[in-house]
Amino acid sequence: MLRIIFKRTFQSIAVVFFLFTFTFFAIRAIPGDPLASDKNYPEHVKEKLTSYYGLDKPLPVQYAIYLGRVVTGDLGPSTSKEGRSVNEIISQSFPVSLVVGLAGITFAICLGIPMGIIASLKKNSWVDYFAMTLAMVGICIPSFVLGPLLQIGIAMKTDMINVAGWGTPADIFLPAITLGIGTAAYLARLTRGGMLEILSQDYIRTARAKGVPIFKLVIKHTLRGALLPAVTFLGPAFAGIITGSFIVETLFQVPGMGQHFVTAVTSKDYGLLQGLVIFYGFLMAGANLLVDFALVFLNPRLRDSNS
Amino acid sequence: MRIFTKIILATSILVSLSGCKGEPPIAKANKEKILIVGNSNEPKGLDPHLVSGVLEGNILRAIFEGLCVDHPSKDGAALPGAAERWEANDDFTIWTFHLRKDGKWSDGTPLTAEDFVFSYHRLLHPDLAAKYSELLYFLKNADHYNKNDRCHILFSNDAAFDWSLLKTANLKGDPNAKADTSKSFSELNSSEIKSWIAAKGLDSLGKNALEAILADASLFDWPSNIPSATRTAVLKRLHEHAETDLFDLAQVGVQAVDDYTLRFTLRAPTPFLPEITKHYTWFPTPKHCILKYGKIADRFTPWTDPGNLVSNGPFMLTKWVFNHHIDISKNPNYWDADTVKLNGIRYLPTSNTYTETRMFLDGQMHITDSLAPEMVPYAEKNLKQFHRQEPYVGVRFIRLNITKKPLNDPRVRHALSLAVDRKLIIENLLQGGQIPASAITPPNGDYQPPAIATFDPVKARKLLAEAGFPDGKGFPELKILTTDRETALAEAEAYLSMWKEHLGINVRIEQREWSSYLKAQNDLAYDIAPSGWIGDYLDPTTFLEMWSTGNGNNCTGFSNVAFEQALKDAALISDPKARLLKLAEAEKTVLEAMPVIPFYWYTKNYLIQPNVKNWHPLLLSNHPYKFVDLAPAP
Repeated sequence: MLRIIFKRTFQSIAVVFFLFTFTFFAIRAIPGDPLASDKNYPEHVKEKLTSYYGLDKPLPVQYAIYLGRVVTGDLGPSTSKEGRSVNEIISQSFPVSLVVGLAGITFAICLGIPMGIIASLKKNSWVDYFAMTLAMVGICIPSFVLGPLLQIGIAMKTDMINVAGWGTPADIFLPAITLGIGTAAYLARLTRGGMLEILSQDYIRTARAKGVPIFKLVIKHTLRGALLPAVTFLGPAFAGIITGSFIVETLFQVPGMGQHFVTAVTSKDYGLLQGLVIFYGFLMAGANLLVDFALVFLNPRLRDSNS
Repeated sequence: MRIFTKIILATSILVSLSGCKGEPPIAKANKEKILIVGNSNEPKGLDPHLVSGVLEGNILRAIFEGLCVDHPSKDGAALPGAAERWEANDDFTIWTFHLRKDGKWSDGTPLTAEDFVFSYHRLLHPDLAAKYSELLYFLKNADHYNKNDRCHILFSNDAAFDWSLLKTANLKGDPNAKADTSKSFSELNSSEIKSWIAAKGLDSLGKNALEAILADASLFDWPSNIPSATRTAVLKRLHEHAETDLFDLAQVGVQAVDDYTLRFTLRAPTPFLPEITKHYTWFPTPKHCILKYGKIADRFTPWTDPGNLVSNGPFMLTKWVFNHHIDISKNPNYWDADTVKLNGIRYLPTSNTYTETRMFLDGQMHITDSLAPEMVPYAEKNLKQFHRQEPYVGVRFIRLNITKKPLNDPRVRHALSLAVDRKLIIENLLQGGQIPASAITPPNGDYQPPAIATFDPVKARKLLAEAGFPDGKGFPELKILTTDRETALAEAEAYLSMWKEHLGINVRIEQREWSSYLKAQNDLAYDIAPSGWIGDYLDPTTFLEMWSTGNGNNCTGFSNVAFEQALKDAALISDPKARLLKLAEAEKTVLEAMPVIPFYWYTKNYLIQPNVKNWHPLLLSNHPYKFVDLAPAP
């Protein structure tokens, strides 16, 4: 078991390193200039700034300097949010994204999994069709449509909820719903599929024949196996959802991390983009690692083959 | 299922608990006299010397105060600010500002003329690399100090040196010298030294490099007619002053005569100087506070953090949550605190204008930054009590790369301009109440721009035929460069169809994202590019100087001797009316050559709660917050 952990951890670091190197050269290959501004400033100022950010050095030198800094945990300065370090931006915006993301994923789990279970138990009835149609709509409806609909339909109609902002606890609901609805829909479909597969197994029929009540049957005998596809999906979805979303954050004015991914690319903020990619890479690798362990826990078959 | 029931129950309790606020945020803010404004984005900083945007200016204008301040309703009028009165000599080249004796920083420290001198010293400091330093070039010698023209500073006023001869030496570096200038002198190996020195130029050399040349004269190539005694004297004096700050020697035209008297010596007559001093680059900055957190030319020290920042304006910084909001509160040490009605202002980084509008309608803010153009017709009909539409000193134009065929022919450029039906595009596509531009500079004050850019398809066809392309035959397919924004695309399509219809020529759209769109214009790697410009202050020069040869914002390849002469002539005229006439003449020269096609003059569309008082239309939209008041909500 320990060997597997070491192996997987090493693999994850290698992936992050590859990601980092690729991003470093890819972002520099896109035409553009990190110090471009709509009002041009004098040439001598531009020269000073270029050397201030070390952008005048040859690429391999820049790469070596940057790699050395990253190893010590310093992600360097941001050129588009001047005066702020990438570490500072991530440490201020990630907790916000994490809170919204956790709320979103909780919403998704609480909505998606029960919906999938109910749909599978009432297979081919109107309940099933209704739930699955709803799930399809949830997958298809983009957040830039759902978000404004929620703002107009709920926030502007009630005094309780603000259209956007990040001041009161109530401000979390609309972004969390917008963020989680797609995941909820996927979870519903995956759970239903998993449930149907397990429910057709012989041991379930045996349990039913022995008169096990339906609630116990689902919780104790079916769900454990039926959730495997959902859990596999949840790991990467979790990493994706807690790092924020550009659309949800700008739409609801949430000071999270997702918007920086987009603005870093458009403003050619090399430092910020690389910092985010490394951070996201580690989160993604970590989440996948956790999923692997969770699957081993849920699935005795995996445990047997490993030991 | 009990667990799910519990979760649902818990959620609904949470909703009802957090929902106890009951009243919209502005109702609470009205009671507390806090103004909530949409400010379009997160500011890049609050150091007046390091930022260059309008949105940062909105905050800086509230927490700092320049020599003069804006009038709440009159454009171009300057009210006393940190200065209580001022006077100029007859030709407006020497200005004396008398600071008020009761002027204080927010920590109670007296505000003195020295704070202004320090501030301009810092902004111009070559090592600070301030993007907006050019706005201080009104001061005599400011440019030389800022550009670090060390030889000019040390030798141009010294009779012992023949400056006209000396300036032919390699001062600024030879762009053809192949050397890695990112390396420092100590990193070089002996074979690289000579080319490195040539690439740098005399003005940029440090102590080590100068010592090396003094020891081995062959390392630097002098023009042959400079005698060797002069060479050594020059090197020795440069060495003596190497790596030191030359501010005092540079004789920049700012001087603290005494604690409360500030004197400016300008490079040219500037009758509109009080107008300029309202710009945040001219604000004083607290010497004692900045030096507490770093050296004069250190970028981004913590002096602008909440708790550290000391300012002299009607408000002071209290809270700054990154990407969320900035709170400022009334400054009790402000000299005119009795006039200030608000207790504070909250700025929101409302980057999404649609969300901003919805927030406004939900009672979350008093004033929005802008209304999306497609919302304007709706607002005119349904939001009449909130909607405002006001002229704004900015111009939208189409840059032409005049170094390229066939755009190098003025007749072709005029044909393109005459074929654009500005009114039609504005009324049917843009719908924001923009004003068709007949020139580059929007009319402001007493300035009347020449009316040259008009719509005349018959004349356009005639000019194109004269240029050798009758009915567009043989005209090469040009590309129009736009950003990836949808509105920019729609606008480009409108030009295309008009040029196709009236001139019979084909133009293709090329979309780029923002920074590569900017870079393509800088590198003259485009044919046609719609772009815009917002004035820094109310004077035509802010719209005209950019078309001089080599100006970083020219980006068209335009270079015209008559135009630049007219600008220079205007700069020497001290009679304001005659000066504006001369500037109009300069603008006419540009328009006759037509390196840019003026399209429209900006208007600003936004929403404002009716209980906000003293918020009047202003061309620069620089509303002085000290006069703004909130009436109790109806």
